[in-house]
Amino acid sequence: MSLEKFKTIKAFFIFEKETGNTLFTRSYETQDTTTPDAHLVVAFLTAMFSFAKSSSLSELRVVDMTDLRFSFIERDDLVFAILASPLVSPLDLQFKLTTITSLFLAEYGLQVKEMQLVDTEVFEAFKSHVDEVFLGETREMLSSSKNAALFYLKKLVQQNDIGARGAMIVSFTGDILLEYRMDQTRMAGAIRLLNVSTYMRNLRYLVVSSEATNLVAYKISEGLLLYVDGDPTSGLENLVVKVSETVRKVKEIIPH
Amino acid sequence: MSKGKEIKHILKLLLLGDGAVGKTSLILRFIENRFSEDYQMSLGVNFLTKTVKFIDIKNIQRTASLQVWDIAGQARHVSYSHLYLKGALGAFYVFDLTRRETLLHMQERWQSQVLKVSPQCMSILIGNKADLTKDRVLSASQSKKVQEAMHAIDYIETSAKTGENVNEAFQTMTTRILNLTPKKFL
Repeated sequence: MSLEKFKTIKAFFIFEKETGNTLFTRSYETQDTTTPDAHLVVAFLTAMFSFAKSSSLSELRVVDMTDLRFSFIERDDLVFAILASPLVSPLDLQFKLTTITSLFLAEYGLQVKEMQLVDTEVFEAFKSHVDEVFLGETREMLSSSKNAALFYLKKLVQQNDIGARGAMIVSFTGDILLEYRMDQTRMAGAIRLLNVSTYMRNLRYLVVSSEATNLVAYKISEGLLLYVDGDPTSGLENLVVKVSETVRKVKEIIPH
Repeated sequence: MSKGKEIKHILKLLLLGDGAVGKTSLILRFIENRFSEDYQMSLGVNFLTKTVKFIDIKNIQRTASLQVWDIAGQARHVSYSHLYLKGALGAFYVFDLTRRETLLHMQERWQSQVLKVSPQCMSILIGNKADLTKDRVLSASQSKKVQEAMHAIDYIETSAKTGENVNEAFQTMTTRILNLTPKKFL
């Protein structure tokens, strides 16, 4: 299964909140997706902000549609918005959006304030930063470490007695770094669970048991988690023990 | 320079260190003079600005606009960290006095990464949560050894909760970067 859907950023926009004037756009078209027209998107988002304001709704951060996830940050009268696949982790979007917002304001914040008319060419050089952030990894791993870690994931899943059906390694924001036989629906659910961990200090492991899965999330090292999807008809305790053993092995091959 | 003249500076400062050591709390204490007991992990990097004014020993009024960057604990692992580390003139390496592991590897994990992209960056080592005296596991002499190894210009113990030494740490960094002796902070 391709991880593409869990990573696809479709477009990024910066526009003035009040007027809807667009300062910056960047789109990433893939084979199976087309990016909506920038003017339509900005008009839609501006209308949504007005609606939220007039309805006294709290600050908008993420809006989900069937085929799209919008994530926003509003700062200094500007709106920074990402359009992504609905399977991209909201935490990862937030991490990247916060970072790109800070980089933009540090570089152009004063200029924007002083601008009488928007000259989008001023921001041309910012494209390379945007590409680097959106196409980069939130938890960089050497490909040699990835290959070695994948070996341990396969070994874990191929043990018949513990009921492990799939495994993946993700960053703390839900950026999937590698996976082996993970079910797509449970992958999406697992990524959503990460929201919980941002409210905890130094999470060690998390277990969720349902009729569909025994899901174990185990911290490997700072910013890195191993997720294992277990068959709920198998014992949970044995699964957790085996997962912790795999984590110990993966730790040894990942530089801290 | 004549008496009464004002000179302005813009300085980019970084706060780095492991997760939950109190970087965001130190910035909030310094910029907004507030503290929150609730913990929430920082996502991504963020910056806030504050202007510091002082008169130097030549009686020149100095205004330093500090751009203080809060580098999330996990942000050292991202593939694009050089984008926000570059151009920094000062870095506070923050650890938690109640958690030994947060001081270990400070140099390899954080400082080496900063110096790669900002080689002139000045360092101060910060031991935070100094108010938690009963839980403290690190002595000042242990921390000073790390300070020396890092060639940090100072080691300061702070408490974002009480405000102890927070302004002093930023004032020290500002005046040392500008290579000035302050007479009075305004």
